Amino acid sequence: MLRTRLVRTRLGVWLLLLTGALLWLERHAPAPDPLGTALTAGALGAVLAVAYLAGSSADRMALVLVLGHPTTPRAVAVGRWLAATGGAALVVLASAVHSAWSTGAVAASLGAALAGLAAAAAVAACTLALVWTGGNALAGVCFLYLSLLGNVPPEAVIGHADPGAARFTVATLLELVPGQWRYRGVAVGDVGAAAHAALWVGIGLLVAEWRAAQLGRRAG
Amino acid sequence: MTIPLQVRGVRRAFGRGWGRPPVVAVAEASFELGASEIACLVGADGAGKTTLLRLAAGLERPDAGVIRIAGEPPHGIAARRLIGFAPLEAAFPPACTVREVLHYLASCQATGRVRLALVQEALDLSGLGAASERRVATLPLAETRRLLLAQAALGGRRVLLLDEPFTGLDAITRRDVGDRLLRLAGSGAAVLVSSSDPVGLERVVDRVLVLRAGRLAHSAPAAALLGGRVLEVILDAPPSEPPPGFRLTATGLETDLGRGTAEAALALCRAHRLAVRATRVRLRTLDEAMLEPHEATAR
Repeated sequence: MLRTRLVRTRLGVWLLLLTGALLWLERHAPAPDPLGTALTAGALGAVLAVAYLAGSSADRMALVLVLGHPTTPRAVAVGRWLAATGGAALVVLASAVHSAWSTGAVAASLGAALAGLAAAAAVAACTLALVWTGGNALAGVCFLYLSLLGNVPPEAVIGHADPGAARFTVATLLELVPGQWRYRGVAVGDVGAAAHAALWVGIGLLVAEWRAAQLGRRAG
Repeated sequence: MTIPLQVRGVRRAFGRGWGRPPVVAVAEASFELGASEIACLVGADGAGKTTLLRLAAGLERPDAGVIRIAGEPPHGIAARRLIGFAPLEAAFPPACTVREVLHYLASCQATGRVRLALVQEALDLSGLGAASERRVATLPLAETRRLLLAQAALGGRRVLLLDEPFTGLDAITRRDVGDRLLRLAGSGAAVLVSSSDPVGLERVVDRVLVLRAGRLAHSAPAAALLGGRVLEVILDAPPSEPPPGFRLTATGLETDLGRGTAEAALALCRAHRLAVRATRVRLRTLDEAMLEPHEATAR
Protein backbone atom coordinates (compact mmCIF):
# COMPACT_ATOMS: atom_id res chain seq x y z
CA MET A 1 0.00 0.00 0.00
CA LEU A 2 2.75 2.46 0.93
CA ARG A 3 4.70 1.77 -2.27
CA THR A 4 1.60 2.35 -4.41
CA ARG A 5 0.80 5.64 -2.71
CA LEU A 6 4.40 6.83 -2.84
CA VAL A 7 4.57 6.27 -6.57
CA ARG A 8 1.04 7.04 -7.74
CA THR A 9 -0.12 9.88 -5.48
CA ARG A 10 1.47 13.14 -4.47
CA LEU A 11 2.66 11.55 -1.22
CA GLY A 12 6.06 10.76 -2.72
CA VAL A 13 6.47 14.32 -4.02
CA TRP A 14 5.43 15.86 -0.70
CA LEU A 15 7.80 13.63 1.28
CA LEU A 16 10.61 14.54 -1.12
CA LEU A 17 9.81 18.23 -0.75
CA LEU A 18 9.68 17.89 3.03
CA THR A 19 13.03 16.11 3.08
CA GLY A 20 14.59 18.71 0.80
CA ALA A 21 13.20 21.62 2.79
CA LEU A 22 14.34 20.22 6.15
CA LEU A 23 17.83 19.43 4.90
CA TRP A 24 18.13 22.88 3.32
CA LEU A 25 17.06 24.53 6.58
CA GLU A 26 19.48 22.34 8.52
CA ARG A 27 22.33 23.29 6.22
CA HIS A 28 21.62 27.01 6.36
CA ALA A 29 20.68 27.27 10.04
CA PRO A 30 23.05 29.36 12.21
CA ALA A 31 23.00 26.57 14.82
CA PRO A 32 22.33 23.22 13.13
CA ASP A 33 20.08 20.84 15.11
CA PRO A 34 20.11 17.35 13.52
CA LEU A 35 17.94 15.97 16.32
CA GLY A 36 15.30 18.67 15.78
CA THR A 37 15.40 18.00 12.04
CA ALA A 38 14.88 14.25 12.53
CA LEU A 39 11.98 14.89 14.94
CA THR A 40 10.30 17.32 12.57
CA ALA A 41 10.88 14.92 9.68
CA GLY A 42 9.16 12.13 11.61
CA ALA A 43 6.24 14.22 12.83
CA LEU A 44 5.42 16.06 9.60
CA GLY A 45 6.17 13.01 7.46
CA ALA A 46 3.72 10.99 9.55
CA VAL A 47 0.95 13.57 9.07
CA LEU A 48 1.49 13.62 5.30
CA ALA A 49 1.61 9.83 5.09
CA VAL A 50 -1.61 9.39 7.07
CA ALA A 51 -3.36 12.01 4.94
CA TYR A 52 -2.45 10.17 1.74
CA LEU A 53 -2.82 6.62 3.09
CA ALA A 54 -6.01 6.81 5.08
CA GLY A 55 -7.56 10.25 5.29
CA SER A 56 -9.30 10.75 1.95
CA SER A 57 -13.03 10.18 1.74
CA ALA A 58 -12.41 7.30 -0.72
CA ASP A 59 -10.08 5.61 1.74
CA ARG A 60 -12.55 6.02 4.58
CA MET A 61 -15.41 4.70 2.46
CA ALA A 62 -13.26 1.75 1.39
CA LEU A 63 -13.29 0.56 5.00
CA VAL A 64 -16.79 -0.82 4.35
CA LEU A 65 -15.33 -3.20 1.78
CA VAL A 66 -12.18 -4.00 3.71
CA LEU A 67 -14.08 -4.90 6.87
CA GLY A 68 -16.36 -7.17 4.85
CA HIS A 69 -13.34 -9.44 4.56
CA PRO A 70 -11.96 -11.68 7.29
CA THR A 71 -10.10 -8.98 9.16
CA THR A 72 -10.73 -6.73 12.16
CA PRO A 73 -10.84 -2.96 12.66
CA ARG A 74 -7.77 -3.34 14.87
CA ALA A 75 -5.78 -5.09 12.15
CA VAL A 76 -6.80 -2.45 9.61
CA ALA A 77 -5.86 0.41 11.96
CA VAL A 78 -2.51 -1.15 12.82
CA GLY A 79 -1.80 -1.79 9.13
CA ARG A 80 -2.46 1.83 8.16
CA TRP A 81 -0.43 3.08 11.12
CA LEU A 82 2.52 0.89 10.16
CA ALA A 83 2.34 2.08 6.57
CA ALA A 84 2.21 5.74 7.61
CA THR A 85 5.04 5.30 10.10
CA GLY A 86 7.02 3.54 7.38
CA GLY A 87 6.51 6.50 5.03
CA ALA A 88 7.66 8.96 7.69
CA ALA A 89 10.60 6.70 8.52
CA LEU A 90 11.95 7.27 5.02
CA VAL A 91 12.21 11.01 5.69
CA VAL A 92 13.73 10.40 9.14
CA LEU A 93 16.25 8.02 7.61
CA ALA A 94 17.21 10.58 4.98
CA SER A 95 17.73 13.28 7.59
CA ALA A 96 19.73 10.94 9.86
CA VAL A 97 21.96 9.78 7.01
CA HIS A 98 22.54 13.39 5.99
CA SER A 99 23.39 14.29 9.57
CA ALA A 100 25.83 11.37 9.95
CA TRP A 101 27.41 12.20 6.57
CA SER A 102 27.88 15.90 7.28
CA THR A 103 28.87 15.77 10.96
CA GLY A 104 30.42 12.32 11.25
CA ALA A 105 28.58 11.83 14.57
CA VAL A 106 27.11 8.42 13.84
CA ALA A 107 25.92 7.66 17.39
CA ALA A 108 24.16 11.02 17.71
CA SER A 109 22.56 10.51 14.30
CA LEU A 110 21.35 7.07 15.35
CA GLY A 111 19.80 8.59 18.48
CA ALA A 112 18.18 11.30 16.37
CA ALA A 113 16.78 8.64 14.04
CA LEU A 114 15.29 6.75 16.99
CA ALA A 115 13.72 9.93 18.34
CA GLY A 116 12.38 10.76 14.89
CA LEU A 117 10.82 7.30 14.62
CA ALA A 118 9.20 7.71 18.04
CA ALA A 119 7.75 11.04 16.95
CA ALA A 120 6.56 9.50 13.69
CA ALA A 121 4.88 6.59 15.46
CA ALA A 122 3.06 8.77 18.01
CA VAL A 123 1.99 11.41 15.49
CA ALA A 124 0.88 8.81 12.94
CA ALA A 125 -1.39 7.09 15.47
CA CYS A 126 -2.87 10.40 16.63
CA THR A 127 -3.40 11.69 13.11
CA LEU A 128 -4.96 8.40 12.02
CA ALA A 129 -7.52 8.66 14.81
CA LEU A 130 -8.20 12.28 13.86
CA VAL A 131 -8.61 11.76 10.10
CA TRP A 132 -10.93 8.80 10.63
CA THR A 133 -12.96 11.08 12.87
CA GLY A 134 -12.99 14.33 10.94
CA GLY A 135 -11.31 13.77 7.59
CA ASN A 136 -8.18 15.26 6.12
CA ALA A 137 -9.01 18.76 7.35
CA LEU A 138 -7.81 17.59 10.77
CA ALA A 139 -4.57 16.35 9.20
CA GLY A 140 -4.08 19.94 8.04
CA VAL A 141 -4.64 21.17 11.59
CA CYS A 142 -2.10 18.63 12.86
CA PHE A 143 0.43 19.73 10.25
CA LEU A 144 0.06 23.39 11.19
CA TYR A 145 0.23 22.63 14.92
CA LEU A 146 3.38 20.55 14.58
CA SER A 147 4.98 23.07 12.22
CA LEU A 148 4.30 26.08 14.44
CA LEU A 149 4.12 24.76 18.00
CA GLY A 150 5.62 21.28 17.90
CA ASN A 151 9.06 22.49 18.94
CA VAL A 152 7.76 24.76 21.71
CA PRO A 153 8.13 23.20 25.18
CA PRO A 154 5.53 24.15 27.81
CA GLU A 155 8.22 25.86 29.88
CA ALA A 156 8.45 28.51 27.19
CA VAL A 157 4.81 29.40 27.87
CA ILE A 158 4.52 28.79 31.58
CA GLY A 159 7.82 30.52 32.30
CA HIS A 160 6.26 33.95 31.99
CA ALA A 161 5.90 35.95 35.16
CA ASP A 162 2.10 35.96 35.00
CA PRO A 163 1.07 32.81 33.16
CA GLY A 164 -2.71 33.24 33.46
CA ALA A 165 -5.38 30.63 32.70
CA ALA A 166 -4.94 30.75 28.94
CA ARG A 167 -1.18 30.26 29.12
CA PHE A 168 -1.64 27.49 31.65
CA THR A 169 -4.11 25.76 29.33
CA VAL A 170 -1.78 26.08 26.35
CA ALA A 171 1.14 24.79 28.43
CA THR A 172 -0.90 21.81 29.59
CA LEU A 173 -1.90 21.07 26.01
CA LEU A 174 1.71 21.26 24.86
CA GLU A 175 2.69 18.97 27.73
CA LEU A 176 0.09 16.34 26.91
CA VAL A 177 -0.16 16.09 23.14
CA PRO A 178 2.62 14.80 20.91
CA GLY A 179 5.17 17.36 19.81
CA GLN A 180 8.73 17.24 18.58
CA TRP A 181 10.13 18.76 21.80
CA ARG A 182 8.58 15.88 23.78
CA TYR A 183 10.61 13.20 22.06
CA ARG A 184 14.04 14.82 22.14
CA GLY A 185 14.75 12.67 25.20
CA VAL A 186 14.34 9.44 23.24
CA ALA A 187 17.70 10.18 21.58
CA VAL A 188 19.43 9.94 24.96
CA GLY A 189 17.42 7.05 26.36
CA ASP A 190 14.75 8.99 28.29
CA VAL A 191 12.20 6.35 29.26
CA GLY A 192 9.53 8.96 30.03
CA ALA A 193 9.70 10.35 26.49
CA ALA A 194 9.54 6.87 25.00
CA ALA A 195 6.60 5.99 27.26
CA HIS A 196 4.79 9.18 26.16
CA ALA A 197 5.19 8.11 22.52
CA ALA A 198 4.05 4.56 23.30
CA LEU A 199 1.03 5.86 25.21
CA TRP A 200 -0.02 8.03 22.28
CA VAL A 201 0.46 5.14 19.89
CA GLY A 202 -1.89 3.08 22.08
CA ILE A 203 -4.50 5.84 22.45
CA GLY A 204 -4.38 6.73 18.78
CA LEU A 205 -4.75 3.13 17.66
CA LEU A 206 -7.63 2.48 20.06
CA VAL A 207 -9.56 5.47 18.76
CA ALA A 208 -8.66 4.62 15.16
CA GLU A 209 -9.89 1.05 15.70
CA TRP A 210 -13.18 2.32 17.13
CA ARG A 211 -13.63 4.76 14.26
CA ALA A 212 -12.74 2.10 11.67
CA ALA A 213 -15.45 -0.14 13.09
CA GLN A 214 -17.95 2.72 12.86
CA LEU A 215 -16.94 3.69 9.33
CA GLY A 216 -17.09 0.04 8.29
CA ARG A 217 -20.74 -0.12 9.31
CA ARG A 218 -21.71 2.88 7.20
CA ALA A 219 -24.12 2.30 4.34
CA GLY A 220 -22.21 0.91 1.45
CA MET B 1 -25.04 -30.18 6.32
CA THR B 2 -25.57 -26.65 7.68
CA ILE B 3 -27.71 -24.21 5.74
CA PRO B 4 -25.54 -21.42 4.29
CA LEU B 5 -27.95 -18.58 5.12
CA GLN B 6 -30.78 -18.62 7.63
CA VAL B 7 -32.89 -15.56 8.42
CA ARG B 8 -35.56 -16.01 11.08
CA GLY B 9 -37.99 -13.29 12.22
CA VAL B 10 -35.54 -10.48 11.56
CA ARG B 11 -36.62 -6.93 12.27
CA ARG B 12 -34.63 -3.72 11.94
CA ALA B 13 -35.86 -0.17 12.48
CA PHE B 14 -34.00 3.11 12.26
CA GLY B 15 -34.60 6.05 14.55
CA ARG B 16 -35.50 9.37 12.94
CA GLY B 17 -34.68 11.63 15.83
CA TRP B 18 -36.26 12.83 19.00
CA GLY B 19 -40.04 12.38 19.22
CA ARG B 20 -40.43 10.79 15.82
CA PRO B 21 -41.36 7.13 15.42
CA PRO B 22 -38.65 4.88 13.96
CA VAL B 23 -38.85 3.71 10.37
CA VAL B 24 -39.13 -0.06 10.06
CA ALA B 25 -36.71 -1.05 7.30
CA VAL B 26 -37.16 -4.81 7.66
CA ALA B 27 -40.02 -6.50 9.50
CA GLU B 28 -40.30 -10.17 10.40
CA ALA B 29 -38.23 -11.43 7.49
CA SER B 30 -37.70 -15.18 7.40
CA PHE B 31 -36.14 -17.29 4.69
CA GLU B 32 -33.36 -19.75 4.02
CA LEU B 33 -30.89 -20.03 1.21
CA GLY B 34 -29.33 -23.34 0.31
CA ALA B 35 -25.99 -24.15 -1.28
CA SER B 36 -25.85 -23.59 -5.06
CA GLU B 37 -29.04 -21.54 -4.87
CA ILE B 38 -29.44 -18.06 -6.36
CA ALA B 39 -32.16 -15.94 -4.80
CA CYS B 40 -33.25 -12.55 -6.04
CA LEU B 41 -34.48 -10.01 -3.55
CA VAL B 42 -36.76 -7.75 -5.55
CA GLY B 43 -38.57 -4.64 -4.43
CA ALA B 44 -38.87 -0.94 -5.08
CA ASP B 45 -36.28 1.54 -3.81
CA GLY B 46 -36.63 1.80 -0.04
CA ALA B 47 -38.28 -1.60 0.31
CA GLY B 48 -35.53 -2.77 2.66
CA LYS B 49 -33.36 -4.83 0.32
CA THR B 50 -30.04 -3.18 1.20
CA THR B 51 -30.80 -3.29 4.92
CA LEU B 52 -31.60 -7.00 4.72
CA LEU B 53 -28.34 -7.66 2.84
CA ARG B 54 -26.34 -5.61 5.34
CA LEU B 55 -27.98 -7.52 8.19
CA ALA B 56 -27.03 -10.81 6.55
CA ALA B 57 -23.50 -9.50 5.98
CA GLY B 58 -23.15 -8.63 9.67
CA LEU B 59 -22.79 -4.90 9.00
CA GLU B 60 -26.00 -4.20 10.92
CA ARG B 61 -27.39 -5.92 13.98
CA PRO B 62 -31.08 -6.89 13.90
CA ASP B 63 -33.41 -5.47 16.58
CA ALA B 64 -35.06 -8.88 16.73
CA GLY B 65 -34.67 -12.25 15.09
CA VAL B 66 -31.73 -14.43 14.20
CA ILE B 67 -29.37 -14.61 11.24
CA ARG B 68 -26.95 -17.48 10.80
CA ILE B 69 -24.25 -18.05 8.22
CA ALA B 70 -23.58 -21.78 8.18
CA GLY B 71 -24.71 -21.80 11.80
CA GLU B 72 -22.50 -18.85 12.83
CA PRO B 73 -23.58 -15.29 13.71
CA PRO B 74 -22.77 -13.09 10.69
CA HIS B 75 -20.61 -10.52 12.52
CA GLY B 76 -18.16 -13.15 13.79
CA ILE B 77 -14.82 -13.72 12.13
CA ALA B 78 -15.79 -17.34 11.29
CA ALA B 79 -18.80 -16.15 9.30
CA ARG B 80 -16.77 -13.39 7.68
CA ARG B 81 -14.62 -16.02 6.03
CA LEU B 82 -17.78 -17.38 4.40
CA ILE B 83 -19.54 -14.14 3.44
CA GLY B 84 -18.77 -12.17 0.32
CA PHE B 85 -20.52 -8.80 0.31
CA ALA B 86 -20.69 -6.37 -2.59
CA PRO B 87 -22.30 -3.04 -1.71
CA LEU B 88 -24.06 -0.88 -4.25
CA GLU B 89 -21.54 1.95 -4.05
CA ALA B 90 -18.01 1.22 -5.12
CA ALA B 91 -15.38 2.58 -2.76
CA PHE B 92 -11.91 1.55 -3.81
CA PRO B 93 -8.67 3.45 -3.23
CA PRO B 94 -8.49 5.36 -6.54
CA ALA B 95 -4.70 5.18 -6.96
CA CYS B 96 -4.64 1.38 -6.95
CA THR B 97 -5.03 -0.94 -9.91
CA VAL B 98 -7.63 -3.70 -9.99
CA ARG B 99 -4.99 -6.30 -9.20
CA GLU B 100 -3.58 -4.27 -6.30
CA VAL B 101 -7.03 -3.85 -4.75
CA LEU B 102 -7.65 -7.59 -4.93
CA HIS B 103 -4.13 -8.28 -3.71
CA TYR B 104 -4.69 -6.05 -0.67
CA LEU B 105 -8.05 -7.63 0.14
CA ALA B 106 -6.66 -11.14 -0.40
CA SER B 107 -4.01 -10.40 2.21
CA CYS B 108 -6.82 -10.70 4.79
CA GLN B 109 -6.98 -14.39 3.94
CA ALA B 110 -3.67 -15.66 2.69
CA THR B 111 -0.05 -14.84 1.96
CA GLY B 112 2.51 -15.68 -0.69
CA ARG B 113 1.55 -17.87 -3.63
CA VAL B 114 -1.83 -18.74 -2.19
CA ARG B 115 -2.70 -15.04 -2.18
CA LEU B 116 -1.57 -14.64 -5.78
CA ALA B 117 -3.68 -17.65 -6.75
CA LEU B 118 -6.73 -16.17 -5.00
CA VAL B 119 -6.30 -12.90 -6.89
CA GLN B 120 -5.95 -14.66 -10.23
CA GLU B 121 -8.98 -16.82 -9.51
CA ALA B 122 -11.06 -13.73 -8.67
CA LEU B 123 -9.88 -11.98 -11.85
CA ASP B 124 -10.82 -14.97 -13.98
CA LEU B 125 -14.11 -15.45 -12.24
CA SER B 126 -15.23 -11.88 -12.72
CA GLY B 127 -13.87 -11.47 -16.26
CA LEU B 128 -11.51 -8.69 -15.19
CA GLY B 129 -8.32 -10.27 -16.52
CA ALA B 130 -7.88 -7.71 -19.29
CA ALA B 131 -8.48 -4.78 -16.93
CA SER B 132 -6.30 -6.06 -14.09
CA GLU B 133 -3.63 -3.35 -14.51
CA ARG B 134 -6.09 -0.48 -14.85
CA ARG B 135 -6.47 1.98 -12.00
CA VAL B 136 -9.85 1.69 -10.33
CA ALA B 137 -10.44 5.44 -10.73
CA THR B 138 -10.54 4.97 -14.52
CA LEU B 139 -12.83 1.94 -14.58
CA PRO B 140 -16.21 2.23 -16.30
CA LEU B 141 -19.29 1.22 -14.34
CA ALA B 142 -19.46 -2.29 -15.81
CA GLU B 143 -15.87 -3.06 -14.76
CA THR B 144 -16.44 -1.54 -11.33
CA ARG B 145 -19.40 -3.87 -10.85
CA ARG B 146 -17.20 -6.78 -11.89
CA LEU B 147 -14.57 -5.69 -9.36
CA LEU B 148 -17.22 -5.60 -6.66
CA LEU B 149 -18.19 -9.14 -7.63
CA ALA B 150 -14.53 -10.22 -7.73
CA GLN B 151 -13.78 -8.93 -4.23
CA ALA B 152 -16.96 -10.53 -2.89
CA ALA B 153 -16.10 -13.91 -4.39
CA LEU B 154 -12.42 -13.68 -3.39
CA GLY B 155 -11.26 -16.83 -1.63
CA GLY B 156 -14.20 -19.11 -2.39
CA ARG B 157 -16.89 -17.53 -0.22
CA ARG B 158 -19.89 -19.74 0.42
CA VAL B 159 -22.52 -16.99 0.80
CA LEU B 160 -22.48 -14.11 -1.68
CA LEU B 161 -24.57 -11.05 -0.85
CA LEU B 162 -24.68 -8.73 -3.84
CA ASP B 163 -26.47 -5.39 -3.65
CA GLU B 164 -27.81 -4.37 -7.07
CA PRO B 165 -25.00 -6.02 -9.06
CA PHE B 166 -26.85 -5.45 -12.35
CA THR B 167 -27.70 -1.78 -11.88
CA GLY B 168 -26.46 0.37 -14.74
CA LEU B 169 -25.20 -2.56 -16.82
CA ASP B 170 -25.93 -2.98 -20.51
CA ALA B 171 -27.74 -6.11 -21.72
CA ILE B 172 -24.55 -7.89 -22.81
CA THR B 173 -22.79 -7.32 -19.49
CA ARG B 174 -25.95 -8.25 -17.55
CA ARG B 175 -26.04 -11.58 -19.34
CA ASP B 176 -22.31 -12.14 -18.78
CA VAL B 177 -22.53 -11.29 -15.07
CA GLY B 178 -25.58 -13.53 -14.80
CA ASP B 179 -23.61 -16.40 -16.34
CA ARG B 180 -20.79 -15.81 -13.85
CA LEU B 181 -23.26 -15.94 -10.98
CA LEU B 182 -24.55 -19.26 -12.32
CA ARG B 183 -20.96 -20.54 -12.37
CA LEU B 184 -20.41 -19.38 -8.79
CA ALA B 185 -23.62 -21.07 -7.67
CA GLY B 186 -22.54 -24.16 -9.60
CA SER B 187 -19.44 -24.31 -7.42
CA GLY B 188 -21.64 -24.48 -4.32
CA ALA B 189 -22.05 -20.84 -3.30
CA ALA B 190 -25.38 -19.53 -2.07
CA VAL B 191 -26.05 -16.23 -3.83
CA LEU B 192 -28.48 -13.54 -2.67
CA VAL B 193 -28.87 -10.73 -5.20
CA SER B 194 -30.94 -7.61 -4.66
CA SER B 195 -32.49 -5.75 -7.55
CA SER B 196 -34.96 -2.96 -8.02
CA ASP B 197 -34.80 -3.50 -11.78
CA PRO B 198 -34.80 -7.28 -12.29
CA VAL B 199 -35.24 -7.29 -16.07
CA GLY B 200 -33.83 -10.46 -17.56
CA LEU B 201 -32.83 -12.15 -14.29
CA GLU B 202 -35.52 -14.83 -14.62
CA ARG B 203 -33.06 -17.23 -16.27
CA VAL B 204 -30.58 -16.87 -13.38
CA VAL B 205 -32.60 -17.09 -10.18
CA ASP B 206 -33.85 -20.17 -8.38
CA ARG B 207 -35.84 -18.34 -5.72
CA VAL B 208 -37.60 -14.99 -5.61
CA LEU B 209 -38.08 -12.92 -2.46
CA VAL B 210 -40.42 -9.97 -2.93
CA LEU B 211 -39.98 -7.17 -0.40
CA ARG B 212 -42.60 -4.50 0.00
CA ALA B 213 -42.19 -1.74 2.62
CA GLY B 214 -39.83 -3.91 4.65
CA ARG B 215 -42.06 -6.96 4.66
CA LEU B 216 -41.33 -10.13 2.80
CA ALA B 217 -44.48 -10.17 0.67
CA HIS B 218 -43.57 -13.36 -1.09
CA SER B 219 -40.89 -16.02 -1.04
CA ALA B 220 -41.13 -18.85 -3.50
CA PRO B 221 -39.13 -20.86 -6.00
CA ALA B 222 -38.82 -18.93 -9.24
CA ALA B 223 -40.47 -21.78 -11.15
CA ALA B 224 -43.60 -21.48 -9.01
CA LEU B 225 -43.71 -17.69 -8.91
CA LEU B 226 -42.84 -17.09 -12.53
CA GLY B 227 -44.59 -20.16 -13.90
CA GLY B 228 -47.83 -18.30 -14.52
CA ARG B 229 -48.63 -17.62 -18.17
CA VAL B 230 -49.58 -14.26 -19.58
CA LEU B 231 -51.55 -13.88 -22.83
CA GLU B 232 -50.58 -10.81 -24.85
CA VAL B 233 -53.13 -9.73 -27.44
CA ILE B 234 -52.10 -7.30 -30.17
CA LEU B 235 -55.03 -5.32 -31.52
CA ASP B 236 -55.59 -3.03 -34.50
CA ALA B 237 -57.46 -0.55 -32.31
CA PRO B 238 -57.14 -0.93 -28.55
CA PRO B 239 -60.44 -0.32 -26.71
CA SER B 240 -60.88 2.57 -24.29
CA GLU B 241 -61.94 0.08 -21.59
CA PRO B 242 -60.39 -3.40 -21.39
CA PRO B 243 -62.65 -6.46 -21.12
CA PRO B 244 -62.96 -7.93 -17.59
CA GLY B 245 -59.70 -9.54 -16.44
CA PHE B 246 -57.57 -7.79 -19.11
CA ARG B 247 -55.08 -4.95 -18.81
CA LEU B 248 -54.36 -2.33 -21.44
CA THR B 249 -50.86 -2.34 -22.93
CA ALA B 250 -49.12 -0.18 -25.54
CA THR B 251 -50.07 -2.58 -28.34
CA GLY B 252 -53.34 -4.00 -27.07
CA LEU B 253 -54.27 -6.09 -24.07
CA GLU B 254 -52.82 -8.72 -21.77
CA THR B 255 -54.22 -11.03 -19.15
CA ASP B 256 -52.92 -13.59 -16.67
CA LEU B 257 -54.17 -16.94 -17.91
CA GLY B 258 -54.10 -18.67 -14.55
CA ARG B 259 -55.99 -21.93 -14.96
CA GLY B 260 -57.86 -20.63 -18.03
CA THR B 261 -56.97 -21.20 -21.66
CA ALA B 262 -55.87 -18.84 -24.40
CA GLU B 263 -58.92 -19.86 -26.45
CA ALA B 264 -61.32 -18.80 -23.68
CA ALA B 265 -59.54 -15.46 -23.32
CA LEU B 266 -59.65 -14.84 -27.05
CA ALA B 267 -63.33 -15.77 -27.14
CA LEU B 268 -63.88 -13.00 -24.59
CA CYS B 269 -62.05 -10.57 -26.89
CA ARG B 270 -64.22 -11.59 -29.82
CA ALA B 271 -67.34 -11.21 -27.68
CA HIS B 272 -66.26 -7.60 -27.12
CA ARG B 273 -65.84 -7.16 -30.92
CA LEU B 274 -62.08 -6.60 -30.71
CA ALA B 275 -60.09 -7.27 -33.89
CA VAL B 276 -57.19 -9.46 -32.78
CA ARG B 277 -54.10 -9.10 -35.00
CA ALA B 278 -51.75 -11.46 -33.15
CA THR B 279 -51.33 -13.23 -29.81
CA ARG B 280 -48.44 -14.49 -27.72
CA VAL B 281 -48.31 -16.53 -24.53
CA ARG B 282 -45.31 -15.85 -22.29
CA LEU B 283 -44.26 -16.55 -18.69
CA ARG B 284 -44.56 -13.94 -15.96
CA THR B 285 -41.50 -11.76 -15.42
CA LEU B 286 -39.73 -10.72 -12.23
CA ASP B 287 -40.96 -7.18 -12.85
CA GLU B 288 -44.54 -8.42 -12.67
CA ALA B 289 -43.79 -10.45 -9.57
CA MET B 290 -42.32 -7.31 -7.97
CA LEU B 291 -45.23 -5.11 -8.97
CA GLU B 292 -47.97 -7.54 -7.97
CA PRO B 293 -46.76 -9.51 -4.97
CA HIS B 294 -50.21 -10.01 -3.48
CA GLU B 295 -51.67 -11.20 -6.76
CA ALA B 296 -48.79 -13.64 -7.11
CA THR B 297 -49.36 -14.91 -3.61
CA ALA B 298 -53.02 -15.53 -4.29
CA ARG B 299 -52.20 -17.63 -7.28
